[in-house]
Amino acid sequence: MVPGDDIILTQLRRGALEYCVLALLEREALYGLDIARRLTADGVLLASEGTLYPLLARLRKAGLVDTSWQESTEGPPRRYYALTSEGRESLAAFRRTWKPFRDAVDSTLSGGQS
Amino acid sequence: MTAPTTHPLAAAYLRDLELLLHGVEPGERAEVLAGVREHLEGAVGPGASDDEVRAALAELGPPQAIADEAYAGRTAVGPTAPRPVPRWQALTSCALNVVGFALGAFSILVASGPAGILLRGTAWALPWCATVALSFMAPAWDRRDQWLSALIYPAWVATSAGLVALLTVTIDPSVFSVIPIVALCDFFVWRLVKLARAAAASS
Repeated sequence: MVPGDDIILTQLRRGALEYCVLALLEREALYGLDIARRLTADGVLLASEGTLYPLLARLRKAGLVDTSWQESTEGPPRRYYALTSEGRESLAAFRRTWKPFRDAVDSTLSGGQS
Repeated sequence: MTAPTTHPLAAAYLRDLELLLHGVEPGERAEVLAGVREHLEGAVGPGASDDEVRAALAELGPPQAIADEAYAGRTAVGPTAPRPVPRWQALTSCALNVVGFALGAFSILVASGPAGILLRGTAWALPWCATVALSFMAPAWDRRDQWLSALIYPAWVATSAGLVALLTVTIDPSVFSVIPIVALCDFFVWRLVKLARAAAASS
């Protein structure tokens, strides 16, 4: 990685990562470790698993996710995060905005290359 | 068999994180710490080896990265939050100005003419110097209020002496001369109240 890639990624994540978390929670409630593992799978979305937790706290405070405790078969009960109706609306709004944004960036970047 | 979060490495990590999150709003700090603790408990089983704990901590990332993310959420109450503005300078200036104003009002009643008012006014010179210094030191006020607080006492003495002089040559001391004097008093009281409000509202 060229120095600078990290900084660019950090800045890009800041706007998009919380919606990726909302998207993960769209179908089912998940617990922290599970969300972290899914986000780090590609090594792009989340650099350090720990940074997920301030983000989750922020989403909960904003009313976009809700937490509940569920028993676990392997160990202590786990805190599950689920999407609220506001979270759903927020995710839908991001989806509407994201595609035109991504297309505009893509076309501008490829235009700059030719 | 020890719980993963009581493993010395994990405990040290959580302690560092807690210290770094010191400026974050307490509810959020507790939530982040609980999330990370639970993450560790899920990631490494009880009685995990040092290497396993080390690997799990490496995946969590440096505590500083977590703290940075928490502060980026802008709900911090510590280093990045506005500190309460000290108000004692402004409030002391107000108190001194009120005493100065009261002394000035008293001189209008007892002094013989404008010269007497001015002369009596100089008796408050020393406290007034302190008022000037305190006014300009007061972070609770903007520049305009600082000037106003510094100059309100001499302005009060000068205008009251001027008004008395004017009344003496125009309508001669009579009951009617009370009206403009009371009006002038009202104006200065209103300015003092505004200054005190600005000082009190700055927290």
